[in-house]
Amino acid sequence: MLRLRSTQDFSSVKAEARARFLAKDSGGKASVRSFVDESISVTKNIGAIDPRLIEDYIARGGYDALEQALFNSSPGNVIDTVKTSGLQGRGGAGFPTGLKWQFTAEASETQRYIDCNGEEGDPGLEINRMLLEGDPYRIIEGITIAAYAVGAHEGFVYLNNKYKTAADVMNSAIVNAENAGLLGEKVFGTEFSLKLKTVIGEDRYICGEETSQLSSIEGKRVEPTGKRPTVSGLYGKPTLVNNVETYANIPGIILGGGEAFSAFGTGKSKGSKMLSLSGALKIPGVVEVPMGMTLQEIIDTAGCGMKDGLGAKAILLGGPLGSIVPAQHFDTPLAYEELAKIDSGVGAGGFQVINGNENAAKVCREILRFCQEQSCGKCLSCRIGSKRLLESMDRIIEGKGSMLDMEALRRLNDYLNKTSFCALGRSVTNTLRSVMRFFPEDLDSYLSSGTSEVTI
Amino acid sequence: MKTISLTINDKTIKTESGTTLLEAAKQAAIEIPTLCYLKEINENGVCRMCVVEVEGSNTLMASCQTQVQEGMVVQTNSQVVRDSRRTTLELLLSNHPFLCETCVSNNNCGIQKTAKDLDISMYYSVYRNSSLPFVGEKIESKPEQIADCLTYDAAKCILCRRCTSVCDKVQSVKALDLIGEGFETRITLRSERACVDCGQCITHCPTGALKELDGTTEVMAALQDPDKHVAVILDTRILGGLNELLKTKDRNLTTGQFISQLKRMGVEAVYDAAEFERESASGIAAEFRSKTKNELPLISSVCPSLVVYISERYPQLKVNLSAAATPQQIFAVKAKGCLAADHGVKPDDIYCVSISSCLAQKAEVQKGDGNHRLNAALTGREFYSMMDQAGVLPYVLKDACFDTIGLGSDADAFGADGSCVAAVVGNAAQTKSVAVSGLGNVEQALDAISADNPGYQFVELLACPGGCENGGGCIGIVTDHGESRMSVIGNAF
Repeated sequence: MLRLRSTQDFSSVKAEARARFLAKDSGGKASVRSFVDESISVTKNIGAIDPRLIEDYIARGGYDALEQALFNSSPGNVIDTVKTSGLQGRGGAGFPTGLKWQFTAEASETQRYIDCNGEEGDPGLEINRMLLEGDPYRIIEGITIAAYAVGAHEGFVYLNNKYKTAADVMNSAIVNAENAGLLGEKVFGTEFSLKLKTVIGEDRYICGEETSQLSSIEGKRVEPTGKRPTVSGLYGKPTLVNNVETYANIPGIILGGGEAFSAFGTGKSKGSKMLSLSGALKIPGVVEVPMGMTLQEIIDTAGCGMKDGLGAKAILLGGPLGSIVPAQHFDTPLAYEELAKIDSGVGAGGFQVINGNENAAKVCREILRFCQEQSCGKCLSCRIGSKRLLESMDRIIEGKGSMLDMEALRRLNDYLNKTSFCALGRSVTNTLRSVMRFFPEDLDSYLSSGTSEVTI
Repeated sequence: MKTISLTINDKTIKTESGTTLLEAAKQAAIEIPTLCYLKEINENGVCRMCVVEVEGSNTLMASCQTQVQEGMVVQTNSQVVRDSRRTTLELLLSNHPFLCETCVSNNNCGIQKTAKDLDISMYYSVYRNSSLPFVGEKIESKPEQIADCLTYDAAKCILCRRCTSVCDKVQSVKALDLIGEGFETRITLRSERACVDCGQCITHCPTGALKELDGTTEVMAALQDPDKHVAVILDTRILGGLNELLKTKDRNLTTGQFISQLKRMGVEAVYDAAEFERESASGIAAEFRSKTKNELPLISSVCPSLVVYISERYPQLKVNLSAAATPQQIFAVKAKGCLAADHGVKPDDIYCVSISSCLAQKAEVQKGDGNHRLNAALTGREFYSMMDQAGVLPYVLKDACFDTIGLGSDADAFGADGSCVAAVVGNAAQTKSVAVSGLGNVEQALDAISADNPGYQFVELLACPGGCENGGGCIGIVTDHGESRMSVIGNAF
């Protein structure tokens, strides 16, 4: 295909791509169930286009945003647009994306890096995988725009090591984008260049934590460094790290403008969020819902209600580092600030419905086991604390627990949250805290029915 | 440097930007307990003992890692902070083997010290009965040999990373590494040939997890053996650290008392290492004079760790290493000759022991040959443990003098930076020489010599930072303030 050196080239390529795409009978139908306006949807191309063909992406409006950013906006304008949009990081922490870009752009060092976090270590979560496999050029376009905005010329797409297909798709997409002149040297014929490559992860949950991920890219032991990547990231240089889904939102924001994007959503939480629905729902799976939809609506609309007449007792929201939201809070909107009020969060998008027959403490134990197994071992708090936490929980659930174990849970709950080195260690106890707050009876049931003597 | 003003424990403090909270607190006479901290070498916040409360943050922050900021309000001793430290220590103890009585670090241990600082009664109640607040799987105490002279007990290891940091940053040897994850994390050797036996990891270990391969059992057996005549070459550099540990009555033992102690233990002759160091230097000086210009620079080979280091990493410079006998070799030859003649026994019955600040001599013993060979090499720590077992009250002993073979022992001690240079090169102003200690510095010097020798004719290199004074066989004193051991030992003399 033609190598793009100017916007004139691009319009002719676009016209041809559109015509070809329309001539295909398969085109047009997205496979992810989306409940949001197409202008802000990040899933509209998934299933609708052939992810290996850059022409398909262009036919659907792809690279219009990059063109606009490069030719009609300064890097500062791009950052302002993202700030206006109100987009928050989709990886879990929900940090304002525009602000992160600004910090990176303002860093004193001019050698800067960009990283796309596709580790997605939450068990069962497949949001990033679907985006990477289904619409790779959208991610690349989002990264390219971000790199232009923050002044990075070298970048990495960090992939979960189970995502073999996603890696293949991304690698060929990077080559195709480079051949098309949309990546690599002289993007769109301009002076801007971005060298992008994929990095396969190490099958460790901690690789999703941004500073650990950068250590992993450098080939060092994978563990958090405690440094801010925007100041001292990859090889000590300022580095922008965003989640796959965050980058996927960028083209839509640049094209439609920050204000248009911020019209969708609620309060401070804007746009859409992809969720991975699981549990006893009639239709589980990955969906895209608008920010602000209540948890109950998500169960009823996106999940089509509960199956087999089971009741929804709670939701494990946000994966292993998330929290358990009880039914009395199902009227809470899916929004960072609203969920924070009930000590919960959106996380990376895990949405596991716990039904009336399940015990919340048992769900919590599985999570503690996962977190303990995934502790990197760097700080004493998490290394030994998560181990002792799990051991006490195991004893309680096996009916061998004592009040000492309950006391250990109580103390470690508070301690890990305050003293651990990184976000993983500090969040290990999130589910435990919600169990102790909302379902203390689930925990107590093991103690009172236990076979061992309760000693204090 | 900008001046930063902040509040610590309601006191206004002014300090330079870039200072850590821990150091800023110290400047204001506020002590924050630490376990892993080593100033400028190991400031990585892993032990979580030095956490403090910073206004505006809902988590506690490691003060060794957090830099001061204008207007910061810090509490170092609030209830929340004290609770956190107590839990950190209790968690640590929940995975501790409590082998204190037989531990090389007993009474010189970072854990004991912190436990005492925080709440000694808590420590002893934990120690003595079973009502631990946190209970679960413990790492089994199973010391394993991980290098020629080095053993590691994962059960005692608190993963403070002082060893890896010293090995990486000070020595630039990069022999030690972390392996495994989470609860299974351990210290390991990067590759079999990586370690050069300098022993700095041992002197910086706060818990006795790393220690030398034991040589005391064999020496004790030789002392008991009526057919063996034990001769010792004593390096007085270890005595400062020993006195630090032994000091109970504000009184140091004299060198003469240490000699008497050795004699009481059954040693027949005790020689001053300095005597042989001088003789070895004369040998190097003679060798130096005999070299042609093309054969220079001559690199002194008195430091056995350095010899291994050059053989492994700079094989092209092996030809430059001095072939003169080391002090230990001279001692072994002379002792086996003279003593055997004196007693009318075979040279093989003379059992030669070096007690020194050098760990690498142990490796030399393993590799040495024939009459040049020491039978055993002990470190300061091992000598201390033997003194404990000897059943002697050293404080009432009378001073004894060093035995001599020929030369007399008023020699100056060698092994400090430049001492060998001084002896070999003397006052010859035309000779260009350099003395470097600490393998991190040595690496730079050797790189320079390999690349483009800047005209050096004689080069003295010592593996340990500051020379043998801070050798890996010295006793590393666990300090209150996380200063690197070198400065502390320096002050002890």
